[in-house]
Amino acid sequence: MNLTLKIWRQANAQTKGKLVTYQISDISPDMSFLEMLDVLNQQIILKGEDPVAFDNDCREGICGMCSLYINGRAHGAQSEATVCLLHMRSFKDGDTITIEPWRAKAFPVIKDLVVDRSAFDRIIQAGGFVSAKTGAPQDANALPVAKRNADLSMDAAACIGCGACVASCKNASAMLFTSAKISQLALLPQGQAERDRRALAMVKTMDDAGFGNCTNEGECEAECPKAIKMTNIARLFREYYRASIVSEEM
Amino acid sequence: MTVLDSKVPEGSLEAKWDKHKFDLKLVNPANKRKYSIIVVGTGLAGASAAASLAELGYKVQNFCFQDSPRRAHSIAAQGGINSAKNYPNDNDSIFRLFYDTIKGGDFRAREANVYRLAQVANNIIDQCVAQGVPFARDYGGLLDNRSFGGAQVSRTFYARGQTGQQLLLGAYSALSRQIGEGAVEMFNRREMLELAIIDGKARGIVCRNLVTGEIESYTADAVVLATGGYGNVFYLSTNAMNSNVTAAWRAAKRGAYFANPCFTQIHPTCIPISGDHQSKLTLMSESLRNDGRVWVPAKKGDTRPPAQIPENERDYYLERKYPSFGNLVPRDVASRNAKIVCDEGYGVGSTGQAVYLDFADAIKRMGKDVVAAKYGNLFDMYHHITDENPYEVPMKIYPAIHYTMGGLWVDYNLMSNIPGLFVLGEANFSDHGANRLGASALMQGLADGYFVIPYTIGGYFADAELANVTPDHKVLKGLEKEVTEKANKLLNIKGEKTVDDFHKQLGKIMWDKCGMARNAAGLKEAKEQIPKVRDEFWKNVKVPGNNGEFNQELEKAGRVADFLEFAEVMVIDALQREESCGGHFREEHQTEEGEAKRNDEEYAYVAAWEYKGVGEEPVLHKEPLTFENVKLTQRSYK
Amino acid sequence: MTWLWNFISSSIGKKLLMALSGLFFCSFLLVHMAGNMTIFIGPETFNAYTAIMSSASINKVLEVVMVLLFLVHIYTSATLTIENRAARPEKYAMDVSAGKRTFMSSNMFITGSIILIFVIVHLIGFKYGDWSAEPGATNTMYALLAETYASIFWTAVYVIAVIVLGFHLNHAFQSAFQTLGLNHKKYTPFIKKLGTLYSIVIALGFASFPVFFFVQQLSAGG
Repeated sequence: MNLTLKIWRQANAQTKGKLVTYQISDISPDMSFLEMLDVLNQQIILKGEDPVAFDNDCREGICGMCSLYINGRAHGAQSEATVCLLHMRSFKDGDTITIEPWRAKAFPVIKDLVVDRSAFDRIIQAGGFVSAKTGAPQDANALPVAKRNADLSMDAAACIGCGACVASCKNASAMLFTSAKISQLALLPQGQAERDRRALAMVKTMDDAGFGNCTNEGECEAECPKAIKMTNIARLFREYYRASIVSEEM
Repeated sequence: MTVLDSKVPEGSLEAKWDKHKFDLKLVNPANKRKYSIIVVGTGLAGASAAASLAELGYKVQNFCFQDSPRRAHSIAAQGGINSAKNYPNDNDSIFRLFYDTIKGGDFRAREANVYRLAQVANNIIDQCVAQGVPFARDYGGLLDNRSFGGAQVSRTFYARGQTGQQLLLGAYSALSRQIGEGAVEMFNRREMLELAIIDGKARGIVCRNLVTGEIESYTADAVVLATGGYGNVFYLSTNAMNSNVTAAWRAAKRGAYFANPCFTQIHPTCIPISGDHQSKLTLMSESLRNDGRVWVPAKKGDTRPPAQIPENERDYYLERKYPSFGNLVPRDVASRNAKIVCDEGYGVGSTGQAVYLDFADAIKRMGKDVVAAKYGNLFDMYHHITDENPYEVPMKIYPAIHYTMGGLWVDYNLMSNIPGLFVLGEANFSDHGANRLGASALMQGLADGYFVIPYTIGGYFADAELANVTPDHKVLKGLEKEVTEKANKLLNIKGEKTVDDFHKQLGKIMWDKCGMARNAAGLKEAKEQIPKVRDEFWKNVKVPGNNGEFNQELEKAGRVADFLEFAEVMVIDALQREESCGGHFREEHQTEEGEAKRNDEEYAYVAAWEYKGVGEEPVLHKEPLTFENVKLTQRSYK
Repeated sequence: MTWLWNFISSSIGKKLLMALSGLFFCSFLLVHMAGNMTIFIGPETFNAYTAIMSSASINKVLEVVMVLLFLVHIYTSATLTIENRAARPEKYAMDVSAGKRTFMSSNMFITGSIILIFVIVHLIGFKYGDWSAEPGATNTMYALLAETYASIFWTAVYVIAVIVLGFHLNHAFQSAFQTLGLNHKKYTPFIKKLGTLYSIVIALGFASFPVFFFVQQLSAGG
C-alpha cells in the first residue's frame, strides 16, 4: 500500500520543529508500524538525508521505549498495545498518517519523535520501592498475600512506564503512572512500612516535575497499553490523604 | 595456549561457596566508600549489582544506553525463575536443580559455579518477594509454582507471562532507591565504547553520550560489565533491537578472553518470519509448551487449514519421539526437531518454516478462562502480531535465536582474566554450558548481581593495589581519541549501503552457517565470507549525520562494526569444537537417532579466545572441565 | 502547619478542595431546588418560604461559607487550569479522544465560567433584586419571578444556564467521588448512574421554574 506520512521533525531540544510530509510506497500489511518507519528511514538515508529518530527497543510491547502519537492517539488507535505491536494492516492504501512525539512539558523533545522521560525515573527514585536491602530476608512463603491483592498488585505492576498516560491526558498528568507503583506496593504487606512516606514523596516529585493535574477523565486508562485502571488513581488519593492527614509523616 | 585457572575453591561441592566466602578478605565498612565501581548495564545482573554494591557502601556509577534503567532487555523474559524451594513437595532439592542445570547444559559448564547458582537461587526468591515482586500466588496466599522447560519438578516462580519484567522492576526499584539516596550515580543514554586498562587493571570506560554525542571518560577501582548477550549477530533474534556485543567485544579487544562464543541458544517457540521487512523475532514463552501440543501434518505439503486435518493425520512429533518428556523436551531438542520436520517438507504456513502449537485440547480440558488466566497476555501478543486468534486456530511457531551462553570468560569470582574487570549475567559464559534451561537466565542474572559480586569484589579490593586514576589519564585520553576517530571514519565513508543492509547480510551468513545446525564446510565458507562483508562495510557503508548529535544510525554502525569482527571468532569457535553439545549441533557429530553427540574425551573444556587483531586468528586458551559430582551421560529425554 | 499548606497546594490537595466544595454545592442545589418547588404550591407558600430564607440568621453564616467555598472552587479551578495548560506547551497537531473524554469532562472550565457569570447575574437579579418579604408588600419574590420570566429572553438565558450546569454536574458528581478516593468495582457504576440522574434532575428541576412562569403568562395573556 501507499501512504502519506506527516512526521514531526525537530533537530534538538533548542530548535523549533515542524511536521514534514513523506510519501512511502509498497508497504506490506504484515509489517509492524516501526518496520514501516525502518523502510522509510532506509530510503531517507540513501537519499543522503537525516533519518527520523524514534525510540524503540524490544519491539514486543514490554520495554516501554516506543512512544509515538499516531493520528492523534497514543500508540495509535488500537487498544492495549504499544506502537511496536501496531501493524500496517490497521491502515488502508492511500491513508495519511500523522506521527508526533509525546507532548508534555515534563517530557522535552530530544530529537524528532524521541523525548526525555527521566521524570518518571525521578518519581520512582522518590519512593517507588520497598527498602529491602539485599541480604537474607525471611522465607518467601512466610508472608502470605491474599490472591486477590496479589493479582491486583500485579495488574498495577504491569505498567511499562511508556508515558502514554501522560501523552493522552489533556492535562499531561502523570497520575496513572504514579498510582500504578503506589498501588502495587500498597496492596502488598511488604509495602506497608513505607506507604505514607512513599505517597508523600512520589506525589511531591510528580508535582515538581511539571506534569498537569488529573481531572478524572480517564483517557489515560483508555490508552494504557497495559490496561492500568483508574481505580489505582483513587487508591493513590486514599494513600495520599492518609499520609497527609492521618500519619505523622511530614 | 595457556590453561586457565578458574580459581574454584577446594572442598566438597556443597561447602565450596561457604568456604570461599569465609576465605574472601573483607573490606572494612569505613573503607568501602573509598572504592568506586563502574557498572555497565542495568538488566537483572547490572541493576541488582549496582544496587547491592551501593547498599554495601561502595561508590557506584551505573550506565545504560536506554533512556531509563528500567528498559533493559531482561524485561522481556516471560516464563519464570527457577529455585529449589521445593514448596510443591515434589522432591526438588538444590542438588537436583544443580544436576538438571548442568545436564541441561550438556556438561559444558563448571560444576562449582552451577552448584553455587542452585544454592543462592532460594535467596533470590526471598529477596524478590521482600522487594514487592508480585509473584503468582494460590488462594492460600502462598507462592505458586509451575513446571517449565523440561524440568520434571515444579520449581518455576512466575508473575503471569511477565516474570522478567517484574524481577527487573524489582531490581530497578532497589537501584532507584540508591540513586535517590545519591549512592549510585546513574548515566542514562550512555553507550560504553572502550575499556581502559591502566597498570594491567580495568580502571575505566569511555562512553558516548547518545544525546549530545560527546565522548566521556569515567574511572573507578573496578569495572563490572553486565551488558547482555550477542544474539543480534544473527540480525534476526528475539533480542531487543539495540542489544549488542560492543561493550563485551571492546573488552575482548583489550585482552579479556571470550569464552565459548559458538554456544548460542535457539528458542523453539517464536513467531515465524513474515517477510523481508522483518526487523526482529518475537518469542512466545516456552511455558506454552506445558499445555500446547506441537504438531505438523503427517503428509508432506498438506495445505488444509489445521482444523480440517483429522487427528490421525497429524504428527505430534515431540510426543512420538520423546514419550517421557513429550512437548517439554529442552529447548535445543525442540528447536532442532522443528527444523528437521520443516526441512523434510512438513512445515506449515506461507513459508513452510513453521509448526503448529495447538491449545485446542488444553481449552477443552481446562476451559478457555483457565487458559486465558495462564497465558492471556501471550495469546494477546500473538494475536496482535499475526492477526490470528490462538484461542481458535493453533499458533504457528518456529525456532529463533534467543540467548547466548557464551560470553567473556570469568573465574569463580566472576572476574575476567583482566584484573578488576568483572562480568555478570548473560555477558559472561559461566553457568549454562552449551544450552540454557528455561527460567535459568533470570536466576543467573540475579544470582550474579545480588549474591556473588557483592562478596567477590571485596576480595579483589582487599588485595589489589590501586593507584589514583582520573578521567584525564593519558590512557583514557588516547581511547577517547580512538573512539572519536572511529566514529568520524564511519561518517566519512559515505558509501552506498545502509548499516542495516550489512547487518542483514551478516545475519544471513550466521543463521545459515552457524545457526541451528552447523558443519565444517559451511563454517569454513562463513569464515571466508565474514571478512569480505566487513571489508565492504568499511568501504561502502553510509552513515548519515554527525558525531556531535543524537545519531541512531551512528550508534548502530558502531555495533554492527563490532558484530562483523566478533562473528568471525564465533565461527572459528564452532569450527574447532568437533562435537555436538547443547545448542552447538555439528551435523558431523550426531547419534544414529540424530541427537547431539558429545566428545567428552577431547572437548570437555571451555574454549576461551584471545583477540589478536582484526582478521588475525585468535589464540585459544582452554579451561578443562572436571566433573566430580555428576556422571557424564548422553542426554536422553525419551 | 506547613503540612497543611503542602497538602492543599499539592495537585491532589487542590483536587480535594475542588471535590469537597463541589459536593457542598451539589447538596446546596438540591436544597435550593426543593425550596423553589414551593412555587408550584402557590405564591403565598413561596413568599413565606422566601421570608424565612431571608430572615433566618443561620443562613447568614451559610452564605459566608458558601461565598468562601465558591472562591475556593474558582481559585483552585483557575490554578489547575493554568497548570494544566502549562503542562503541554506545544499542542498536538492531531488529537483524538480514546473514548473516555466527553464534551462534559473536557469543558469543565468553560461550563464553570458560564455558570459563574450566570450566578452573578442571578444574584443581582433576584437575591439583590427589587423585592420584599414584608407582609403586605406587592413586590414579592413570586412577582419578581413572574415578571422576569414573562420575557422569553430571560427564560431562555435561565434554561440554557441550567443545562450548562447539568453538563458541569454530570462530570463533576462522579469525578468528586473519584477524587475522594471512592472508586470501587461494587459501587462506582452506581455512583456514575446516580451522577447522571442527579445532573438531569437538577437541570430539569431548575428549568421547570422559568418555564412554569413563562407558560403561565402565555396562557394568561392568551
